Amino acid sequence: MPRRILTLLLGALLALPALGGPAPDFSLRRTDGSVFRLKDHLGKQVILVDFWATWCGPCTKLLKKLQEMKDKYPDVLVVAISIDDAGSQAKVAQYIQGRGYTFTVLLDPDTAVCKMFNPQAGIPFTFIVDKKGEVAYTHTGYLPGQEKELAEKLEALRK
Amino acid sequence: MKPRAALLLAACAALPAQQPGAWTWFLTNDSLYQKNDLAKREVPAGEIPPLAGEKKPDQFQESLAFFGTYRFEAGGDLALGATLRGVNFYKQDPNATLRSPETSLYRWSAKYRREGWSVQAGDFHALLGQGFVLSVLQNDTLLRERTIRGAEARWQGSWLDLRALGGSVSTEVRSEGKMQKWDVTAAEAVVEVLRGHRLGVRASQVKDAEAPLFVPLVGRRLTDSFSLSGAEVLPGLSYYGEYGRLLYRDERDRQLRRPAGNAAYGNLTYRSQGLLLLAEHKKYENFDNGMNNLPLADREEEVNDLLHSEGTRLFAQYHVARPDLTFFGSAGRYVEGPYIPGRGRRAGTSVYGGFSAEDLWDAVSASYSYGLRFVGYAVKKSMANLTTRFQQDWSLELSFRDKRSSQFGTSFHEQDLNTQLAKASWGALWVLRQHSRDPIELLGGGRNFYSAGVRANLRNGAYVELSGGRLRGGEVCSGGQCVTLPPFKGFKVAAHFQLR
Repeated sequence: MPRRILTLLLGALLALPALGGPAPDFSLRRTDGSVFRLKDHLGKQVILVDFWATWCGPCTKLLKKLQEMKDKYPDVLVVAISIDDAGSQAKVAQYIQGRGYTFTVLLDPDTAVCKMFNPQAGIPFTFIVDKKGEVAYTHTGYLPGQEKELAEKLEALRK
Repeated sequence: MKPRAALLLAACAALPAQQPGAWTWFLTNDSLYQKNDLAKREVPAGEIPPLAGEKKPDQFQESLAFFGTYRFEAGGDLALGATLRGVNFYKQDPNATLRSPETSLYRWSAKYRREGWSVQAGDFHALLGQGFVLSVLQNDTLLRERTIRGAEARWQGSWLDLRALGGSVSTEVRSEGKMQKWDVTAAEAVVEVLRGHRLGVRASQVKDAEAPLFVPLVGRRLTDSFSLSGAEVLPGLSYYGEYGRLLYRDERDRQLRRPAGNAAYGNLTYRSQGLLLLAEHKKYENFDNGMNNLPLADREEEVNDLLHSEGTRLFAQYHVARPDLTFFGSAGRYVEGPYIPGRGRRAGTSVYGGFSAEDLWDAVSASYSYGLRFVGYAVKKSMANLTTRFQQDWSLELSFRDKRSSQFGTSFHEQDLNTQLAKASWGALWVLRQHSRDPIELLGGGRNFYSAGVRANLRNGAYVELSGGRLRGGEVCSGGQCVTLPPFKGFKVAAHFQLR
């Protein structure tokens, strides 16, 4: 087993010179059933994406901060992707609609997209795509005050 | 290392040299070492010693995940993705009944996508509809990872979704499924029939491929369902409804007179300004096909009874924007369990309510909820959280959870109090006190369990965590499934980093 891990690490290190590049594209359903495609927005504006779930305390605290960022930076596309399983999707809609959040909410119940960016699926997981369509920032977890770092990144990337 | 995994990595490493700039990759690593003194066990004379690899206090988990995408310029929006994820092993995994080799795990997948089409092979999760016919998902809380190893083809358009898949289901912890393996095939079609209304049809076949001696092979189960849903069909009004059937297809099952199953779930939501009302109903009869997990209708941390359960719930929430206050309440009536002559089925109610307040005076957040449930036996549960912020990114958080229940004349009581001091840019320091009055756990010694830990945030999202002390074991439930975790006494070191 350690040999297997070592081989994986080595393989990954071989790919190190390939740093950078475009954000992986994906398409997911919104809570109203319509389709959201990331590629329609790539390269046009700064995109802030957050993976969350209704049962995750830090995630719901961060959602409120995302709404504040959407209000403050109207040119930034804010997308919150729920990884709640399908049985909890009524909860997702009630959570978002009940609090009047207006950012884009997508559903990723089998975590297929979440695992593209964050294979361990630890949440909240946040990333920012810059105007060139490249992933410029990633972060896992949320502690009160970390929204300041997010805001600073957005400020820099909007210029 | 499997040859196909090596081949994928080699291909990924070679691609950038051919067409720089079109290549994206992520590498995530999570390592955990823990020393659990409670895993030590002296083998009494005459007892059969444990299998090799079991009962070791030194436990290690390593998970390395890689994802890469290559976008071809010539084909327009043409992308090729490859994922190699997860090499986990435990010298002794959390479930003491397992042998170490069974927890060895690797996952891989390759996906090709163009416009709305996608084709993938390898390991993947799948959830069809609301889990009526197929639900193969990861559950981190329960340390459970289920995937389908096979292939899937999918079309996702603006008004039509088509999906077909097949393969065998493997689990990280195979004995969670009684060391079973299953072969599954499934298909789903969802079409927008009227503006805002979507009709879904889906079916699956689940076949037992492998089972231990003491578990009989059930054979083939055929499950189908159809659903109708609508979002904002009238101002503020949304709905979802699904009905499913489960049929046994093997001659032996017919001889055993296994009854066909059926299931129904529906919800209706109305929203107006800060008010939200939700009504939902479920009724499941003999609907466990081994690979499905349906909505709980909000019974929170309980096992989802798919054989005999019925429930109706009303939920109301009112939200005020300034100050940010939310009040909520839920009341449900449930009937479950098999019919017992003279007593009928177990029936009862579940109610809960509470409030949350966010960023009062830009410094304080608080929440409280209380729930009372009596379905078969009584459970009282309360949860509270108080977070204060100071000096911009400093915070102090107190979290409290209390659960009391009484079953068969025995009282159970669990209480957790967690205190956390954090500075967002540096990390966090926490102290956890757990209390338990559980006759089973007390065999392991002690009613109070103390632990503490520190997490340091490093650059680029990396962190290290050190924690130690005693943690209560016991039943842990998540998403309608439960496992029993052993108690812990010792220390843990965890590290996480990500490269891209």
